[in-house]
Parts: sequence; structure tokens; C-alpha cells
Amino acid sequence: MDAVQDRTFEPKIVGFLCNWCTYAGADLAGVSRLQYPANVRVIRVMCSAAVDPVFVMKALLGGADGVFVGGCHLGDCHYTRGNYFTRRRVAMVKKLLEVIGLEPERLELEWISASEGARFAEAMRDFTQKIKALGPNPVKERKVS
Amino acid sequence: MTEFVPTICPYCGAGCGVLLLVKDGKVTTTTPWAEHPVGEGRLCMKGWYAHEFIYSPDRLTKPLLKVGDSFQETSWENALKVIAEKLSEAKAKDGPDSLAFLSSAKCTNEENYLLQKFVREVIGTNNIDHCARLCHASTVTGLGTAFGSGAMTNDIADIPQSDCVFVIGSDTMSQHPLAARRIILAKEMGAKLIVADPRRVQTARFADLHLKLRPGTNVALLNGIMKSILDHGWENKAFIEERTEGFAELKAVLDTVSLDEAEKITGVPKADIEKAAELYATSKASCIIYAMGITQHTTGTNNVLSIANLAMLTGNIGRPGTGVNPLRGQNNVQGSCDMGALPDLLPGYQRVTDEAKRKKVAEAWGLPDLPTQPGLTLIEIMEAIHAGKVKTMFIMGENPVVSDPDITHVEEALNKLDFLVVQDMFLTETARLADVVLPAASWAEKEGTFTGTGRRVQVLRQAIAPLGESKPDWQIIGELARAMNAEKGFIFASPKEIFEELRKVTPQYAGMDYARLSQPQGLQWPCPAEDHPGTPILHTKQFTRGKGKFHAIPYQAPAESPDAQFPLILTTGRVMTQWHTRSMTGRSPSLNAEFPEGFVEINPQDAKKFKINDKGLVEVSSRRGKIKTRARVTDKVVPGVVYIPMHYVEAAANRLTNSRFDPQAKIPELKVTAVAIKPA
Amino acid sequence: MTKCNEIVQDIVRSMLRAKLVDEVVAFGRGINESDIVPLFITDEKDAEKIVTISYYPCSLAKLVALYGDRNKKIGLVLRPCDARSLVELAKRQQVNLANIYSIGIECYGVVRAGSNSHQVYIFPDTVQMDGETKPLAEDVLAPNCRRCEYMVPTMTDVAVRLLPDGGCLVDANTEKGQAVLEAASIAVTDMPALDLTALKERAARWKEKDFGELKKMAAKDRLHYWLAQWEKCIKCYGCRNACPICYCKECYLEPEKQIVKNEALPPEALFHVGRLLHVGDSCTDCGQCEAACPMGIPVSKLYHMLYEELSPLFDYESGFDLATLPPVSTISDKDLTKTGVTLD
Repeated sequence: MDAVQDRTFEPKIVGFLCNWCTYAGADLAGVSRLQYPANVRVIRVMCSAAVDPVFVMKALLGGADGVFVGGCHLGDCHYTRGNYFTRRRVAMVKKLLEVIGLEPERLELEWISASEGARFAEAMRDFTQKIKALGPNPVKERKVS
Repeated sequence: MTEFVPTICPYCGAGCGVLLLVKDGKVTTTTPWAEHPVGEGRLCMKGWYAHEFIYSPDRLTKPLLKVGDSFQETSWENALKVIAEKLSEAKAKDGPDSLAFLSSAKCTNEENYLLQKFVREVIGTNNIDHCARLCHASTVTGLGTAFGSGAMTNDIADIPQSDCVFVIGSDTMSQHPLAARRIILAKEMGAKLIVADPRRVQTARFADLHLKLRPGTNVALLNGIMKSILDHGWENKAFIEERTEGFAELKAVLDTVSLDEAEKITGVPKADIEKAAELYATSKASCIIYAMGITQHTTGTNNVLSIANLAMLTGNIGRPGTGVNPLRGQNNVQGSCDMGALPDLLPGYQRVTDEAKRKKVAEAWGLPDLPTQPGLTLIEIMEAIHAGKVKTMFIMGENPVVSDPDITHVEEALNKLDFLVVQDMFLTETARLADVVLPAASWAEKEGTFTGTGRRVQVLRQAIAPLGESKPDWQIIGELARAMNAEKGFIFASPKEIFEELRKVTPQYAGMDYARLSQPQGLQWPCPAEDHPGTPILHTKQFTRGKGKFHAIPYQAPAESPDAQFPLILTTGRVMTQWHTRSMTGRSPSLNAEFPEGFVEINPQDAKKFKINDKGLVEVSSRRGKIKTRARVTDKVVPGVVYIPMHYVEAAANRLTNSRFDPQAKIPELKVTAVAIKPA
Repeated sequence: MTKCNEIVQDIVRSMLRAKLVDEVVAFGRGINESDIVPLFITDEKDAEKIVTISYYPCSLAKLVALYGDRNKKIGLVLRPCDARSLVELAKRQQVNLANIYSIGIECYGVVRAGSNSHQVYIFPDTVQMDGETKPLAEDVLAPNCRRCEYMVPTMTDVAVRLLPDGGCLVDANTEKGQAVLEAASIAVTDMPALDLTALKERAARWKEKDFGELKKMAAKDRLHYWLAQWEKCIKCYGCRNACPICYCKECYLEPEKQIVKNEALPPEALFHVGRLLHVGDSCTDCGQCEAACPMGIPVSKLYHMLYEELSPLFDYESGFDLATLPPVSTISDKDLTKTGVTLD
């Protein structure tokens, strides 16, 4: 139950990374041989604004322990203002999570550019640590088949 | 011009009210009817999309005549002429009993009434039956003998008043969702819920107690429960004394029952049987809700009698929140039974063998007498065709090639016929075998009355004109009768006129007329007089037959038991968005998409044993046939049992099922078949 | 209460007669007095069927969006929440507000579908049932109505107020409204301002009750509360079909989208959450979803709860100003000045 103590808990994290910035940042982290936890499963999207909130919720209700959304820094969006929309959507989903009783911290948004390989690795370490501290997604306690 | 037409949903027996939005002569959508007492402004998915098949491109719009191997369009005049000639010829050559008719629980009371009148008067036989044979025939016989009235004793709206709801053999949430609404309401108001079902049906999720009995062991379970009630002295002695008879006989059988034995037969732990007995017997008002899981057995009538025993033993009858409540399947299966579309019963459940009653009906029809011998039931008709006794058949709105047990046998039978007429909206699997196919109008295109479960008679209103040259079934029967020179007695300008006649011969309907029925709540039979308010609860002061009759029912095993060759029990049922043979839902895109194909549910233990993978193709076989379908490995079913929905012709459960039937009700054992399974 | 009925009927007749509109959509008598059904009225003599009782079985705004003719001028007699839905639909290009003449009736709550709705009129603190005036027992109101604080139809062209003595006040909010009242020869009177303090207090009290007990729960308990509610779902799509804001022709809850798995009962939780994501920011708390739910899932409670969270976050009030777009389909100038990953 106490996941903080549960050293064996390896969270499953879904990462939606924007093609132009964060995905390239992840790539750089890899090429640079930077170490970060293997908990994140990366899905490349053309823009963080292409992450329909329903994908986030599909992941979380399907049992993912955390969802990470990475986009370009504000002002750098390849499509001019996509990430501003992303920010609003993430804010909405966080409220929704709170309302239905899931921890809003399970969803994280970061702006990481193509040159920030080290920041990407760090963000993954931090987020994984945060989710480990939160423990497994409580949705999994209730099996609906 | 846009308007809402209030009418009745064409699917299940709950009989919810719907509003059809008609815009410029076309049905646009279905919405709930807020004032209707059953739906109360809510619908299930089937209800919300009940309009979708109306404009299906598959609708038949012209009569079809089989020429060689294919159909040719023909005129109504010609089609009726051919049918009239063939029917008259057959009657003259081989006698009226060489003809058989299937009526339909999807048709209105007026249509069922008219067809049985046609069969009895113009043809002169009692060979008329319909799909009630496959669903609640055992209820009609069972509750008829125990209480004197073979129908739901209380009403759906009455369920929330219950303190303990005992659901046995019914997947209520999928099949009668608006009845399930009341069960959930009752539960949330504090009632206890017991579900007895071999599968973890959705209702079971909310159950305080889920009894996972082996298919076909209902009597053993119910006897166990009654035994436990007697052991603890929970029976209602005053009720037994004052209102019933035959208790000593029942007790004699129960004395031989042991709970250990019941546990062994049913697979339900003894403690759970006792718990169920306590919950049911000690609650203030307990009701029983049941469906096909009880009736579709070779012991169907006995199952129903046992349920009646249990209710009477505890005095749970005749009060709000109690009762024995069969949930009728088709929207008008109650009505088609009421109307006497049955081989042994005239309208109003008057036996054809009861001379006084028969003569009274005959007199009302201006005839000296009617056929006196009970006719053949559905399954017997198929046998009689094989035996060469029945050679001509007329099927109104049914699809036995998918719905009946052992359909290979049924197909062979229908192919053997000299002449077959099918009257339907679509060219169904059965219609393809016909010599003449008559295009029928849909539910939105005709007027009439439907009688839902709960005995609620209500008016179906016409929203649009019949498509193409299709006609309402009542018109077709009338025209056919006239083509066979039966002028008198078959000239009706509207269903209302038919109703005026039928209520004269159907005692339960005597006090009803269209004006009264047109109210949103309709009327619940019996309604014997025009100032009678209808009867929401039966048997309040005394049973219809006087005293309630206990029956001594010992447990009997199903006709087929698993063996080395066929080691599993197949049980069949339905899914939420499909309806029977899918002639309607399969043509409703929204409904079909929810459950587009068949499957077989199998427990993980069995899957491992027979090397079945989830979603893998499998072959399921029985003594009668085999089908290919997809496996779903799930603990929803108990080990030793597999489940197949009956809808899908390409993986038809009824290729496998057994046509062995209950000796009294003649209902086939669709719920227990020994099968084998292997990867395909 | 016939007088107010008469006035509304008069307005409708006049609108048709003056050819201000081609058709009026309103609730009226069906089979009997308590059978209230939507009517599409083109002939002024049918206006006599219109009723103004406190019952509102479906969203007329949605009916017009789905089945109304866009090129026709349509009159609508509706309640404030539905009038707000109409504005939201207009923002989503589903109705052409320029062609709509809306008559709003002040509303202090509707009675739940399924209860006896025969001639019920609800006022701020009394209720009239079949001619008898009684103090208002709040539990006769639909749950969403108890939380409502928008009783006055400020967003409609004409506003009508029913009075407990059977009288009726009428005002025009817009030029279109003035034209309507002119056609009906009704003098525009400024309505006396209402003291809404007690009603706002009622809304706050019920919000505190409905949301408070959920908010007080531990997060995990709240999650299991909702998961348990959703397990009752029979996937009838009633909430979606009844919701005035759910307008998509291609709905991603449907099986062919394969976002929510088919062939399963109950549907996965995403069935509910997916719709919540789509309309939560714009919910007008009209309660149609909950009234349509056969299984008694407190749907409107969930949507309203999220809306109450999102409204201050995005500074967005749904259903009033046509110019402000739904918050997640737009960004504001203020957004551009903020850095970071949150809106704070």
C-alpha cells in the first residue's frame, strides 16, 4: 500500500512529446548518453496542442501512473501558439483530475527545447520520482471488466 | 411540419414510451417520453435508436414471388391470389391441420387477434403459435396453474417498494434496462439484492449476494432456499393457511431435500443458500424477478412453479414491492399470448378444449363452433413438417431460422414445405426460404395496442405512412381473409375497430377502449368493466384461481449433461444492443456497432484446459452442429460453462442448442446444451 | 396561472401573425394536462397549447440546433439555463442567433421528470401545485435547480416573469425583443429588480451540500465514489443525447472511433470522462443529462462541480456573452503575458 516504501514500484509513465522541441530534446539526451529512468513510454506528436485531453485521460484511466506532456517554450511553437492552447487544456485536465479524485500531480507539463537534452533527462528523473512518491494509480484498485 | 408523436418502443417487454420526431413526413429521431410511467423520460440505447432501421435500404417495399431460385416483385393482388389459392388447395387436399401459422410478439394485439381468428375461422385449425413458446411459455403454464394468471403479478414501477429483490435468470441491466433502473433504485433505497445467475451479469455487480448456480439447477437451488426457510421457521404460516393449498405435498418434497445435496447440484455454497433464504424470507416485502434463465429449460414449468412456491411460502404476493415478476421479452409478447396466438388457448387464456368458453367465442364470431383439438406448438410444427404432416406454413414477423433451437433441423423443415409465406419488413434468413414474401410496415407506420410486461396495454401511434407498398400486418391479414372469401368478420377500417371486437371476447380487456388506453399510462389488465381502473397488482385479496396452489417439485437434471465428448455446458442469452435475430438492430448502425459480432465467453480455467486464447477463433460443437466464433476469456462465466449470445446468424448459438422441450409448456431447453470447444 | 400562459401565448401568436418568425418551438400540452411535450408551432391557433408550468423535459435549444431550419426565423420559449445553452450553441456555430427570437421565462426551478408535473409553478419561496399555494420544499426541485443562481433570463430577447398571484410581467432585453412586444402590443415595462439574495444563498447552500461532501472526501474515496457511480452506466448515451452542449456530429464516444471500447458493459470510465472533457468548461447546469440517466448517476453534479472550478480559472461564464469563446478553444491576451506551465 505505502508506495513510498515500496521500492519495487516502477511507475508506468506515458510521455507525449512535441516533434519540434521536446522530442528532439529527448533525442539529444539519448545521443548524449544521459541517464534517466526507463519508466516513460514516449509518444511523438506533431505539437503538444495535438494532445487531445482524451488521450491523457485514456492513459490515466487505463492505469498509467503518470502522463508527461512536453512542448516548445512559449513563443517557440512551430505552429505559433499551439502550446498556449496546451497550457489551457492541461490546466483544465488537472482540475478535472481533482474533481474526480485523481491527483493532479499525475499530469505534468514542461516546456523543453531541442537543445535541452540535460533538462529532459532531469525532468524525467524528477517526474518519475514524484510519481513513485505518489504511488500506483488508484484507478487500478478497482477492476472493471 | 414538425411534430412529436408519442408511441411505444418496439424492443423489450418493459414497453417504454418514446416520442418520435416526425419532420415533413419522415421520422428523424427518437426521444424519451417524459410522462410515460415506465420510462419516466429515460430510455436505454435501443430506445434512443429505435428509429434507425425504419429507413433501412433493406426494407421490403413490394411483395415478392419466388420464381426458380430467385424472387421477383409482384403486385399485392397477385401475391394474395397465389397465397389464397395455395392455402385453400392445401386445406382441401390435406385438411386444415396440414397448415401451420406463426404469429408474432412484435405485432400488435389487433394483428395477433386477427391472425388467430383467421387461422381458427378461415383455415379451421389451432396450429398457431409464436415465439412466446421460446421465452415465457413456462410462465403461462406455471403461473397459470399456481395462481390462475400467467403474467407478471406486479409492475415494473412497483419494484422500488421492495426490501429484497431476488433476480434469477435475468440479465436485467442489458435486457430490460428500465426495469433494472428500478432495481438499482430499490437497492439505493436500502433493499437487499440477490442475483442468481451462472454469469456475472451486470446486475450481479450490485448484488449483496450472487449465487453462481450451474445452468439447469434452478429447482435444486429454490428447493434448497425453501428448505432453509422451513428449517428456520421463516415461512408465513398465516398466508399459507388462509390463501393457499397443497402445502403438505410441497413440504413432503422439501423434507427429502438436504442443503448439502443442493450445494453439490447447484455449485452454490450452502451458506449462501441459507443467506438467500434469510434475506428473501425475513424482508418485509420481497419480489422475484426472472426471465429466460428460468423458463428455457426442459423443467421450465417446474422452475416457474418453484418460484411460485417460494413466493407463497413467504406470503410475498399481492402487496406492493412483492410478487412474481417474469420480465417478458418482446414488446408485445404479453399481448400476443393474451390474444390467443397459441395452439391451446383462445383470446383471454380460454382453453380451446373448454366447450362453453370456445362456443362463446365462436358465437361472437358468428360461427357454430371452432376447432376443438389443441394445435401444434412451434417445436412440434417443425417435427410435424419432418413427419410430412404439416405441408404449408405462414409466418408473420418471425425468423425461426435463427431464433429456434437446432436450426439445422428447422432449415431442413422449412425447405421441405410445399408452400411457405413470410410476412416481414426485411428479407430475413427465414423469408429467403419462402415462396411468397409480403412486405410489412414497421412500428412507426401503423396503429394498434401493445401489452407490456406488467400487463400494461398501451397505444402504438402511427407516425408516418407505410414505406413503399408495405402494409400493416392487420391490413394484410384482412385482405388475405377476404381473398379467401371470408368477407364477414374481416372488414375493419382501423385497428380501433378490431380492438372493439377483441375486447368482447377477451375478458381481461373488456373494460378498455382506445380513449382510455390513449392516456400515457394506458391500462393494466384485468380491466373487466369500463369504469374499472385496471389492476396494477394481481392476487391482492385472493388468487385469480381462488387459492394459490403449491406444487411438489423434485429436482430433475437437464436433458443434456456434459460428458467426455461434450464436456462443457453452453448457455445462451443476449447482448445489450442487439435484438434476437438482428433483423432490426443489425440494420440500426448505432446499435449494431456496439456489439457487431458474436463471441463465446469461457472461463480462464477452461480456456487453459482447451488451449483457447482470448480473442482467438474457436470451434464450438454439440451433438447437432458446430459454429466458428471468437473466444472471450473471462471469469464472468463459471468454470464448466460457456456463453454465446443468440443473435448472430454467422455464429448462431442455435446451431448447437437442443430442441428437447418441457413436457407441459413445450419450451425448448435453450439454456443448457452440452458442447465441446477447440481452437479453430 | 392562466393569465401568464395567456400572455406568453399572445406573444407567440403575435410573432407568428407579424411574420417575425416562421415557427415557434415551445413546450405544450400533449395527450393530457400533465403530458408536456415540445411543440413546433407554425399555425397561431396551436399557440393555445403552450404551457408555462415549472417543467422542462428536454432542451429546446438543442432541438432547434439539430432539427430547426437554419434559414427560418424561429421563436423559442425557454428557461434561462436553456437560453444559456442556446448562446453556447451559437458560439459553436450550431444555431444562427440572428434568426432566433427568444422568450425567456424566469425560473426558480423545475420539478424532476417522473414526478407529477401537473400544473406546478415554482416561485422564489412558494410553490403552486394544481392551484394550491404552499411554502416551497426545496427537495421537489431537480438537484441542478437547487444549485442555480441564474433565475432571470437576461440573455433572451424577451423576459417574462410569473407572479404568484397569477400575474405576469414582461420586458424586452434587446431590440428584437422590443419588436416582439410591439407586435404583441405589450408596453415595455421595466421590471422591478429582484432581490436574489435568498436565492443565491439557496444556491450556495446546495452547492456546499452537493459538492462539499465530495470535496471533504479523501481523493481516493472520491475516485471510488465516481467509479462506482459510473459502473451503474448502461451506455444508453442518454446524457450525451440530452446535453445541449454536446453538438458533435461525429462523436468520439462512438464505437468506430475506438477511443472508448465497445462490446463492454459498463463502458470504461472514459465514456463519462471523455464527455466531461468536452463540455465541462461550458456546462450550463441545465440538468438534462441527469434527468435522462436511467440509473440515477448524479451527472449534473459532476459537470457543475468541474464547471465551478474552471469558471474562475478561465474567467469564463458560460451562456452569456456571445463574444467570449469556450475557454479551451481559445487563448486570451492575458495568456500571452504569462510565462510558465500554469495559468497562475
